[in-house]
Amino acid sequence: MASVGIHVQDGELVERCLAGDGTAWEDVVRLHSRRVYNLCFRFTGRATDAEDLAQDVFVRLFRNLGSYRAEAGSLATWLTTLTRNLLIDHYRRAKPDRMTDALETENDQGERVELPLEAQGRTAEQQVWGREVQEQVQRALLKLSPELREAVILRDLQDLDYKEIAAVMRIPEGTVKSRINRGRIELARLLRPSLGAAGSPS
Amino acid sequence: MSETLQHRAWTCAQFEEQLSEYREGTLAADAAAAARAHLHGCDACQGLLAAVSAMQEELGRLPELDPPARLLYRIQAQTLAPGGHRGGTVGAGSGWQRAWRSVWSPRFALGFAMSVFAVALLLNAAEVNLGAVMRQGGLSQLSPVSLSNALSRRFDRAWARGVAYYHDLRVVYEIEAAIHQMRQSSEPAATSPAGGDHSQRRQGASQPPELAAQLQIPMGFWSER
Repeated sequence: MASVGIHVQDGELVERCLAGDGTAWEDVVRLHSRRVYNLCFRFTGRATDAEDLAQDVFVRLFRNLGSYRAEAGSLATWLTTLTRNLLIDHYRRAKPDRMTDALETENDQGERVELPLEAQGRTAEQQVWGREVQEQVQRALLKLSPELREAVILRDLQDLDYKEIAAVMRIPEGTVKSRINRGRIELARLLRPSLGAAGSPS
Repeated sequence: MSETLQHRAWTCAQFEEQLSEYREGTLAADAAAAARAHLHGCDACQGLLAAVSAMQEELGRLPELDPPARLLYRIQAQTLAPGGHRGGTVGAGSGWQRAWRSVWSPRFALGFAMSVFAVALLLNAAEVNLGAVMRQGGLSQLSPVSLSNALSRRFDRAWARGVAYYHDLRVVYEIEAAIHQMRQSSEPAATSPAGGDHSQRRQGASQPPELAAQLQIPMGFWSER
């Protein structure tokens, strides 16, 4: 996905940040906040959590910009790694809460999903498709284990290639492939009843 | 022949394991043939393949969301604003971070402060009590309709007050002009300038000085208020 040329640009941008160039930091935030926010939202399923986490990611990035090495990879991959680590930490910290939630609402369909207000989608097709299906897919995503969930999100929603995902998750490419595959199958089984004829067994 | 037998020997679990690679066409030729052979005779795996395809289509239609605008402000407030980095140690980069805080803070802090100030002014003019809004959760107070109603009410009242003030002013001016005329006719201006000055001072502060009287400015009115 990312070429060597982009890494050089990333390196220059970071250099400018470190030299005290304010517009360079603005560029970094503008270039990457959308992707970071979407990754956080798809992983947590809650707009407020996604916002808080995305903010944390950039605060950490700001503090650690000095340790970025362009030759080690793109800023995007570095930032995705940072985001992913924060998401996993958040997941572990929130685990006890989630278990009490599950006990309290036993009949609930699963994890709570809180779409942002503007989650309607911008194209006409996305609007027709609607909020309800989005919530269904998002809920199914939240039922996956975090390992499978992050693999599917990084591949199918963030369009990272296997190599990049392997770098972000610090696991071999073979394991990445198998997690993505298992995640997709589990997701398909969860969504099969609601996706109609195409998914129903013949 | 033996190869064909081996293809048929693929279990559902084996097919499942390779499902994504089969869909993406990245399997080696012999494995792809084995997958096809298994699929041909297995309804369950055909159904699963269709379900995965349908799911991926739905996943692909999930919209990419716009991050809320306040996220950028929050990030800037936490990184560039003086007193940022709450709850964490500042790393080795604190020197340069301070350097661009000075570049950035006027631009951002001022812009942000001005917009907060403008909104506060507007709300104040519309007589929205922010404290009350927070306490009662009465966010309907902030709707455009109620804001504009409050603003026009405010304007009407200010207008009425202005008109009343003008009337007051005219009455006072007319009275003072009349008093002045009466005084001028009773004192035929024979006194010396110095004496006149003294006599005028003795008459009280509410009386207009001569110059002001000539210019027809009702000085008494101003000093009384």
